Amino acid sequence: MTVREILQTMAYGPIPESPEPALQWLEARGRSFGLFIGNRWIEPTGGASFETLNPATATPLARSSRASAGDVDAAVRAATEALEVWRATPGHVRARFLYALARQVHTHARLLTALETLDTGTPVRRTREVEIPLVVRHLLHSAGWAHLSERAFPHHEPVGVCGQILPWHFPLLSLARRVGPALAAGCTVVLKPAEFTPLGAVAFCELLQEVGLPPGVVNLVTGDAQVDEALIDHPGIHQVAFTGPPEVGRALRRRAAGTGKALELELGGPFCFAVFDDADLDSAVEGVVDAIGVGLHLVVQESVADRFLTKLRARVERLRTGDPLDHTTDLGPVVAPGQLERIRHLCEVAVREGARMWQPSWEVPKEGFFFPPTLFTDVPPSATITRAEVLGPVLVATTFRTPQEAVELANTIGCGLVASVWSEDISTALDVARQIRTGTVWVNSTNLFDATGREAVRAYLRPARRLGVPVRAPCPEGAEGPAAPDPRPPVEAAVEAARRALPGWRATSGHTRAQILYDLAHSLQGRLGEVVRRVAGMTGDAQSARAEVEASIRRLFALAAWADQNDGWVCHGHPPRHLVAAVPEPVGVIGIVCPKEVPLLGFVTLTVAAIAAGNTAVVVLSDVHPGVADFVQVLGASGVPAGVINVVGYSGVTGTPDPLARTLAQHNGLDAVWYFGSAEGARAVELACAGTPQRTWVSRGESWDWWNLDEEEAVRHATQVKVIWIPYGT
Amino acid sequence: MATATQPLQIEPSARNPGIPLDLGWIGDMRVNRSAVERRAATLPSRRPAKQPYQVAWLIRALQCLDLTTLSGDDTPGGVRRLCAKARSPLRADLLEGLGLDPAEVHVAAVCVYPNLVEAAVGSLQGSGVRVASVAAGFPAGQMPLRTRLGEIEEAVRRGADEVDVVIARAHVLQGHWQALYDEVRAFREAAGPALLKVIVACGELGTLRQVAQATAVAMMAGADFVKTSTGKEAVNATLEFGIVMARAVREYAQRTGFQVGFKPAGGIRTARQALDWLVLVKEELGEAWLDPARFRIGASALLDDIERQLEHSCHPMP
Repeated sequence: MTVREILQTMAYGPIPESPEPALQWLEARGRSFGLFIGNRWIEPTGGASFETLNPATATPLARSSRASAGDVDAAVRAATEALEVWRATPGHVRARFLYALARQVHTHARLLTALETLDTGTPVRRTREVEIPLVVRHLLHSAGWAHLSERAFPHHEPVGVCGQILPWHFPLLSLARRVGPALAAGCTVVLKPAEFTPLGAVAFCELLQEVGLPPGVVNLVTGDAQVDEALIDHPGIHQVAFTGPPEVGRALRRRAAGTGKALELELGGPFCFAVFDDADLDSAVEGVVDAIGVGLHLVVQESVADRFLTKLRARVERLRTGDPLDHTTDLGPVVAPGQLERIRHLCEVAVREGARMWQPSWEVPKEGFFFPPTLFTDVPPSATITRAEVLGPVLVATTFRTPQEAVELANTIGCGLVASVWSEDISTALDVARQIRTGTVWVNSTNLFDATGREAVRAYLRPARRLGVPVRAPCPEGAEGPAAPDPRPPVEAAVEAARRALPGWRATSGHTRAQILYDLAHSLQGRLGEVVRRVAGMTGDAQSARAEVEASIRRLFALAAWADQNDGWVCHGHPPRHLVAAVPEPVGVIGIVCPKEVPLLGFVTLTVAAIAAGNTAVVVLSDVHPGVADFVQVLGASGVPAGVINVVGYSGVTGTPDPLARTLAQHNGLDAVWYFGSAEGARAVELACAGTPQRTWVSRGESWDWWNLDEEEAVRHATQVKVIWIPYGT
Repeated sequence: MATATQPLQIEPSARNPGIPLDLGWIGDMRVNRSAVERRAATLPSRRPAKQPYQVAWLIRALQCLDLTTLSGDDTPGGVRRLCAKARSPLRADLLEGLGLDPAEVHVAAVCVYPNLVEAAVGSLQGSGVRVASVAAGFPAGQMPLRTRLGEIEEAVRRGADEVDVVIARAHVLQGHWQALYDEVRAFREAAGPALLKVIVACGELGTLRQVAQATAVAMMAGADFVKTSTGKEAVNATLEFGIVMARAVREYAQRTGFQVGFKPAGGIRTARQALDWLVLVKEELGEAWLDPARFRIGASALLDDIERQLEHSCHPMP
């Protein structure tokens, strides 16, 4: 091109990011990578390896090791050996390692940028300006928590050895978001990057070596889904973190059921993008462009739909696709060839099902896994694509007339992890953000991943639990008597009542709930003598009866306090003028199977924690606990609305709660099931819930020290935190 | 080898006649500052960095330049020297080395106070460089309307091809869109055949939304160009203001079919900044706007830096 020619077209010309740092790095290692176990690079036993491609060219990039079950075992053992030392390492020392690591990432930013771009096909503008700086940011933020976590979370301990299965979407950022808090909390880690994108994690482990992290604190195994499974199944793993498709997450829950492993799941799903008539439409279009690679479900107010979609088509027509290493590239390839087929298929089906498809006039490169940006309009509500997470540059547009319709649409689509709401009216934006069922809502923005909040590090801590001695012998563990009635009808009625009561109860303020609970505690206090007498009459132990009733009343007061204090937090994210609100929301309807060893105290702790946080409850109770019956009696008189607590009874003499627990776990009207009973019962509950979005909280047959349980733990299980990003400025 | 090229267009082929004031449109305009800031932050990474692209883009920046002097100590002699620079901003051998005809490469216009229009007109005869004059109570617009209109007429009478006029910010700050519309209409009439470049003075309008609204009203009233700043406000041409105004221009073109020109001015001193503005225009408005008929940069010191960069690019130090 001559200057004269360029003056005619005003083309940008290539603005390449040099792949050299990455290519040199690859060549120096023979483009072949081992496993990182105990701070050493080792060959996999069996020597199996697999090839990863540069998705932009479909040419081989490197060979990585396929870990065997033995390798996974070696990695977990290394992490287990390192755990004692690492968890005993003072927080400020762990912080220094994390800080050094952040600095290493910063120093090697060019290498990591180029490597990540080659490995994932993410446009370099994104990797260089967003992803790598955020990796640094997350590591530094985690360093801060390493300093502060002991003070912020007293009486907590690291969960232990963490298996972390990473996604291919922003893999290095996902790694930092997982590894940083885990190390801050004192956990050790076995990393398993996505099969198609292992290289960022490999380079990261080299940086770990450079900062001298003790051997075994972070280990890396690579390979396919079999390696994931070996990691999940390994008995030495205490917690599994997974980000990825819901169906894989469900399989993982089934595998982990009954093992006692904690799960940290980020399950994908459609990304809902709602545009209101008072939105900055041009900026909303750019918001779509920022996230177009993963696919979006556009929910647009009817009155501006034509204008918005016209602007969007014009913008997409001008999108640049091609070499991800070029700074002018807006849209890169998808990661894997299989994914390309899947997207193609989804689009074909959508057209067959009657949706109208639009693509820009230009063509994508023939080499590499490129798919053109595609917009579907006039999509029949039943079309497959309306509920699919596409994970490619596909936009599915539907329209709404009122904010309520927008919420319903979003919730029908079933948002995964994130939603985006565009409106210049803060009342509308926040109201809709509160109602969409998802973990993160970006108001007037997309793709903000700043490190904020306590949740990230708390996920890697657990209460240092003292197991209690049962105050009374547990009730007899009878077999299910032949005369046991069918548990379904009473459960059905109870769940129905709880669902009906939920919208009203969750809408009450914490203040109102606290007031009701204080009243409840007060009336129970007034009947103290009577209740103690009745409990003692059953158990014959007046002293322990009195102790339990008094502890229950104390707990009730404590939970009343929590109802009014479960406030979430607000902070300022980076960049400036980005307010981040973490809003605690009730989980929904919670099914609760109370522990037998302390019937009244267990019941009060769990049920009241649930309702204090705004949930309604279906509680499974044995009929032999008179104190509980007293409690239930005063509920109505204290102003707890009907349906907020619903009791399903079983025979405490001949029965077990397990048939009821299973019925609850299989019921799709529940949002969570808490089970405090036998190990087998816990496993059955976890299995039954694995295929559903229901959360579980179980004790696995352990007898907990209910007398000293921190109420906050129960409240936390009763709460989900929604993070709402609210950028502002005029 | 020179390929066949179309001559660079400096004057718009069709003027924007304006449309009736559309208050619904104005009321519907929304701007989200944070989103605009995020967009602005992505622009500089698209700045052409390789040769010959960077050279070509710098030449285009120069061709879109309104070389400006607006000082109390301006003299006819000084303006004549500036005009000489405007006619031949670069060494002929340098241009020939790039395969360009030196006669083609000059700035778009010289911009002066009304008092100095004649000096500029005299020096630029036959050069293809246009003469622009600020007017209408520049820079604050706080003069009686009759005086401001008279100033426009006077500048045109003295030979200005273009007038860069300021709006009365009070109309925007008080939401008096009809008054603003009528005022710009009157400016347009007073300017007659001269191009009307309307300075909305972004830095004094309070919010980005009002920047968008003022820009739209100015176009509805018949502005040929909309311009960010006088260079005398505390905050001048920022990329955020640029994005908001460019989007208003795009919307107007889409709704009416008229391509109004866009001119950032104030604080643009370096070649890098100039490239950022070209990137902004290409991204938000498209290549069609990247010529002096639809895009200008108002600056005084910028030319020196562009010249320095071009010298450096064409004769790199060994």
